[in-house]
Amino acid sequence: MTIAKREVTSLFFSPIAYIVMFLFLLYMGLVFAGLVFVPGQLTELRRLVDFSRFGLFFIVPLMTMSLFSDEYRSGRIEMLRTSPITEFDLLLGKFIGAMFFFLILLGLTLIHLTLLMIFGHPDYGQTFSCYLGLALMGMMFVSVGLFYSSCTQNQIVAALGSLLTLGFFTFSGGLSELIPGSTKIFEWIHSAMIYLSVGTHLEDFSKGVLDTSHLSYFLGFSAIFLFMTYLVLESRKWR
Amino acid sequence: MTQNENQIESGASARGMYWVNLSLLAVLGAVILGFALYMTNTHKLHADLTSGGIYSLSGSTKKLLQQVDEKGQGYELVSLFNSDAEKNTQVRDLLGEYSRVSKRITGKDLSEANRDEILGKIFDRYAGEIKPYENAVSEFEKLSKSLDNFSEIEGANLGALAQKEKNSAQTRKECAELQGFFNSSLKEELARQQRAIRKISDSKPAEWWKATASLKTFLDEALPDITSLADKGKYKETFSAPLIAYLDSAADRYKAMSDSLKTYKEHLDKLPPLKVQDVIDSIGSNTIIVLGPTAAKVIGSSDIYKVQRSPNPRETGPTASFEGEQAVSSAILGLVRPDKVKVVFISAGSGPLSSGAYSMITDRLKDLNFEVMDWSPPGGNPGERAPADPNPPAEGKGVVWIVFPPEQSNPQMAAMGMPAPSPTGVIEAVKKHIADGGQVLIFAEQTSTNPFASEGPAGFPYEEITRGFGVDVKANFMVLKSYDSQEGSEALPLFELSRFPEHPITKPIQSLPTRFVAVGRSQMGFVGAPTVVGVDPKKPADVDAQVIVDTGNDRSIWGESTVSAEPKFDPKEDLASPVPLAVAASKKVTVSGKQEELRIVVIGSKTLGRNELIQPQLQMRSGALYQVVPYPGNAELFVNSVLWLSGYENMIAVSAKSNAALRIRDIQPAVLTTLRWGVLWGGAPAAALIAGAVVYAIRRR
Repeated sequence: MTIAKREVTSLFFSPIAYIVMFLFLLYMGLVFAGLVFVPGQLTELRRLVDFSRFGLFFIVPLMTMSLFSDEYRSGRIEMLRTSPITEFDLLLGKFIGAMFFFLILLGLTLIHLTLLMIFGHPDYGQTFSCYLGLALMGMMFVSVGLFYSSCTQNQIVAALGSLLTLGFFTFSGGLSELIPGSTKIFEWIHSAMIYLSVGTHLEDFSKGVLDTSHLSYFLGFSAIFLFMTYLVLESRKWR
Repeated sequence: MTQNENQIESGASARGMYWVNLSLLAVLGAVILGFALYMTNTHKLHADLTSGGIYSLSGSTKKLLQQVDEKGQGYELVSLFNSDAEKNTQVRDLLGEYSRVSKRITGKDLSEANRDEILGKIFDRYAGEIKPYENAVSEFEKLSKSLDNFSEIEGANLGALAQKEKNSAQTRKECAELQGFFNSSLKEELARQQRAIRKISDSKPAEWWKATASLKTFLDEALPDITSLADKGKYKETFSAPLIAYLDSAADRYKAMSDSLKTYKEHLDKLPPLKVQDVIDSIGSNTIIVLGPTAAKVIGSSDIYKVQRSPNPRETGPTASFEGEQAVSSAILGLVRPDKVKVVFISAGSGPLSSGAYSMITDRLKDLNFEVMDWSPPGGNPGERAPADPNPPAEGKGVVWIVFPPEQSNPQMAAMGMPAPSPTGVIEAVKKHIADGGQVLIFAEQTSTNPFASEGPAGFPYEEITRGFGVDVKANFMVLKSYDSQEGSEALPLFELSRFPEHPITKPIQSLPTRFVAVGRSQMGFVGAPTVVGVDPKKPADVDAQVIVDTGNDRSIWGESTVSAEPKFDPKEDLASPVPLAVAASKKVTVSGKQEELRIVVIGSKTLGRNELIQPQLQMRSGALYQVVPYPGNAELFVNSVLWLSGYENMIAVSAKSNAALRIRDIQPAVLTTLRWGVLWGGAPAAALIAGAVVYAIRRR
């Protein structure tokens, strides 16, 4: 918890947090005003959630790029290693800190929800599901960001790595349409890309539907990337 | 080995072990994760958190999809919706739900650009009925060769005849005209037909019926010409002697050609009508195509979005309610059970009911894949002008009869000396229908107040039938409700119920207002008032009978045995609540050596499904005008009874669900612009930047 607290504090003392907040609010505001907050439209956050991934795949790498890279660059990682905390504690602390910041970002969208509540009657079950989906997607995106940040001391490289990976997860659904469905192997690749797409799994959450397959997707990929981060941290001991 | 080397080796070995352990852990983790992802994908748990459960299919649809899965045949649902984002999404979500619930159903979102792909799939399903058309077209290819050959020879012969100088100018002109017909008109038309056929056969999928239609037109035009040249009687009157002599000599060839063309045309005329053509004609934008294993159905936009008047029609115009689930489930049901269940409205002495007073119920039944007909047996209507069909249009197993009480005699009929309609024909027909395994919905009414009853049917005419199912109709009782007002109390055969005993028919209509009312009021009293229908205490042992409608604990409703000007409840003679009003009964019988379940429903109010009680009405609520169905239970009770009788229980209660009511209300443009710029695009993002600047400034200090 100490590491998490330190992480959040340092994030809020750095300009990047405010730039991230600015970009996030601007993007969500544009989507909300253009697609959701239109008289006569359904009072739901569905389209905001569906479109959020296109903004978050860009914003989350900015948020996570410095998490480990900065520690490596400044040499603080060696200091942390000599302290009694384990790699697991370090990873957990960083992850909780980043997730806390991400949840604060989500909290900022309560502005949008408030407007919907003033001018309509959103379905609360669906709204809860929307936020749950966003939180789970955030968890996966943060895990990816953490992994790339743990791989290099160069923040730009970390951000680019995250951006490419999250870009794949974000756009693989659309990219799958480019694959010709002529042979079995292409069909298999097409299905795999559809499955890997974040949109496939976020859609049900945005509708107000909870499905264990989508829960397991987000939790599973978060676990994979966190575990890989752990391996990277552990491996640095042996260099 | 030095100590240093030993240390290096043990360090390397420890590192090696570490990596082995780590790799094993990684593999184990990947396996566990892969298994978890696989399990959660194959055994999905699903929870719809929306308050109206709009992303959950009804229990009835789920049962239907279970049947689909059990049959193991694949279904495809294709959406061609492209009207607006909201409707597209709504339809896509619905089809997604079907494919989520059933392993055998796949949902697809396509556009009309994929028309060929869709047509190909439809053609595959109707390959059997298209094949004769394809064969007919390929047969024409042989015929066209001989016709081409024939016209070639005839053109040459007639040309030679036209060249002969010894022939008169008239003969040469006639020959030249006929030569022109064979060499130009016929050959060109034949070539055009062949090109058209080639074009159709090259297209994928090939619409062979278009080719046969074109060939029919061609034959209609060419055949009379060739036939007239083969008909001695005809050409003798038209042509000059040398040409007649030539045609006489060529008569066998002409006759053979004419006969071949005639035979081929008859073959074309006998081709069975194509169902696929109707399916293809219905395809358009904003439709859903349901592709079953051997057939397809197209659901139009108007069946998916039923137009209703908006709460305030002057301001916003009509709105549409989303009834996609009902439409899609009905289509799937129609494909699962391709034969439509027939429903026959039967009454002695009345005109067609399905197109008259019960037309709205008829529409509902048709939407649910029923085929609705009318029948009134001969002799039932003493005033009938045209003789009635002695045979019912459908009877026996798999057919539901809806039997109404015979029209009661009225003063006009009595004055004209006309007897009341006789129910005898109906009674005999119903008995035969039941004996053949048919199901029946019978409506009863209170009859004893009719002063002309002595001349017509007194009591309940179908008692003999209902007794066999343990149903006791007390037609001498009128069910009344007492209404208190400032002028005193009044008892009327008019009341509403919204709680019903548990039964598959009534389960989905709990809490839906259902009205029971007399047909009308005359000087002699009420006509067609609700009556008592209960379970006979002495019912046969093999019968399972249950009251499905009763008046509950409402003490203001009772069954009145002696209707007077001011009826009052008499505990000795009258029936206190709960008064039974409808019974559903079934019994196992052996029909044609097979064990069958016969079902019957008897409802003590014949007005239940009349248009007046079903159609939406305009009502003022909270200052706004709403179009509402005041008694939604009436149509549901009627339709559910037919569904239960026909064994279509699966379809009971597939009702429309939508979140369409939850919309952002009108916002003044100035307010909207202020909120957009002031909060969403400007205020909130700027606040984040300002906060950052403040933190930065504080830190710098």
